[in-house]
Amino acid sequence: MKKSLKLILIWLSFLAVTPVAYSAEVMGVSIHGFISQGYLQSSDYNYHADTEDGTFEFNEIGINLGKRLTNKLHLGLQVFCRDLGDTGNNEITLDWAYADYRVTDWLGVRAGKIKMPQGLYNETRDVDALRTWIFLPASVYPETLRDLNLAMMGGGMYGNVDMGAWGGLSYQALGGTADVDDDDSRLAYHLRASSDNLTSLNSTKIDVDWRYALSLVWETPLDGLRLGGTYNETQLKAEATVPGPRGTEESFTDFNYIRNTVASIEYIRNDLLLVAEYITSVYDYENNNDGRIEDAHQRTDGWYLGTAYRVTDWFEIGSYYSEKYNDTDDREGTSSIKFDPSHRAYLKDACLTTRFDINEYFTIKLEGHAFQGTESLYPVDNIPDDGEAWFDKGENWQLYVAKATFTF
Amino acid sequence: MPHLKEWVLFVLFLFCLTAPIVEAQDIMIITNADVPIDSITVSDVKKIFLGKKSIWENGRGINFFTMDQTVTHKTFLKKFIRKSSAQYKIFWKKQVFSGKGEIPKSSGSDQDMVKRIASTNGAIGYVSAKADLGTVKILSIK
Repeated sequence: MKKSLKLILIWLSFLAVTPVAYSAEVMGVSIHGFISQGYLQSSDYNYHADTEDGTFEFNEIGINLGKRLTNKLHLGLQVFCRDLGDTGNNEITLDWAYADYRVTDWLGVRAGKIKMPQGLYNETRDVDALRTWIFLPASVYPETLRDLNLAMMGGGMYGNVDMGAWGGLSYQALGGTADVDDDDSRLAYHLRASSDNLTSLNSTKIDVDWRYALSLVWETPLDGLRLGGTYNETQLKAEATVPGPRGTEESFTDFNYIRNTVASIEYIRNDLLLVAEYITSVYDYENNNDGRIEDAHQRTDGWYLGTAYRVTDWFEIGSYYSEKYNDTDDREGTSSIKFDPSHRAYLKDACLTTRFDINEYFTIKLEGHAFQGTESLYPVDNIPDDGEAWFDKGENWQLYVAKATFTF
Repeated sequence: MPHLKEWVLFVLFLFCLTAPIVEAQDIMIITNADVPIDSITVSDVKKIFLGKKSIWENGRGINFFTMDQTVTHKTFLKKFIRKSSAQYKIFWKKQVFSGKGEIPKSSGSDQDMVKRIASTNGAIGYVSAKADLGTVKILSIK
């Protein structure tokens, strides 16, 4: 731990003083990137990593190449790796790569691996330097399904429609499939970690058959006010298996489809940002609990209110309050046996964050979360000591996060 | 929440230490001589510099240029784009890191901006009112 801390401090010092921090252009190809290192410390429970003991297993790196071939045709790609606890492990992935042909302002087409719109911030969720907060609100941007909701292989159309005095309308319509890692993705971890049969889980398999996404954002006539709506649906087979009799495998959890609908409102006036988003999701899956197959049609929802204020060129403050519910029919977790204890049904999060822009490229953030509830926490990350019950440390706990990000 | 009180006091302390500096300056919108308009609305300036309008009325492409972090740049953003310098920078970084756009090319001074506009077809930019304009065209604001 001390060695890691020392290395990171040296790295941060280097980035803070380096005078050669610029984006590059080689043979007309523009090169950008970001690198971040975070530290997580929590009380009572582990949040997606061994946070109770404090952990540096929280980083992202991305390199981005782009070239404009003609006035209308642009090619680009981004490679990316990350680490968050036991997932990611800094394996390099293709984040997005697509050709963009802009026929006119109101019609363009894209083909390749494209970031999926979901809410206002999903397409840039991995670059925390682009917002005030370190963690986006878990209600609308849950870590659990991050990889599944991130991008799609396929194509679609987009455009900006000028509506005169009524403002402007931006739209995207995308269709295709997705490639989600069977082992290192958050979804695979979610499938594994959701099992209470922790030691005997065989494997996870994730195949996305098809998906589509629609996005509309209305830039209203009131300057700085925009309203958005996104909808996406994914047909998939996401399965965790456990050993069955005579060497066979039995499905433990098997997702069939997921639908997400998000409504958004954002208002920016001078240095002030106000934002609110609401998500409702529907999951169709089967659960095999000790041989009992249960068909589930589960509806979850969540919302948050957020604000940020840029005090000076180098200092910004922000806050949000977020609520996430695992089952809209049982928000308090009192009428279903699946929530034991009942605070497994929800996650309420009051977040306060500070952002320091050391220079144009280098940002440091400090963030605190006061949580109520334990939804989104995995049993596998929070195995109780002998004699203790699962999630028996109460519903109130805290998370502290520090992160340094360098973009160019 | 342990340390919450200390954290809030720390943030308030930083808040009190800092005070934004605002300076006013007149801005001129300038274009290459081949641009087929003589006036422009604030709304269209905003659309162009946010990448939402990319084609002139004659079908030719728009090339827009911004300035580095100068008073002229900050005044332009406040008056036409209604964004702070930090918000504008983040807006374009979002486009870059999602593959939807490229960081605008920027100039370091009025003279550099005028030179770029004069030598680039379909170009539009802005300078302070005291700039020497040479052959570029000034657009009036509707």
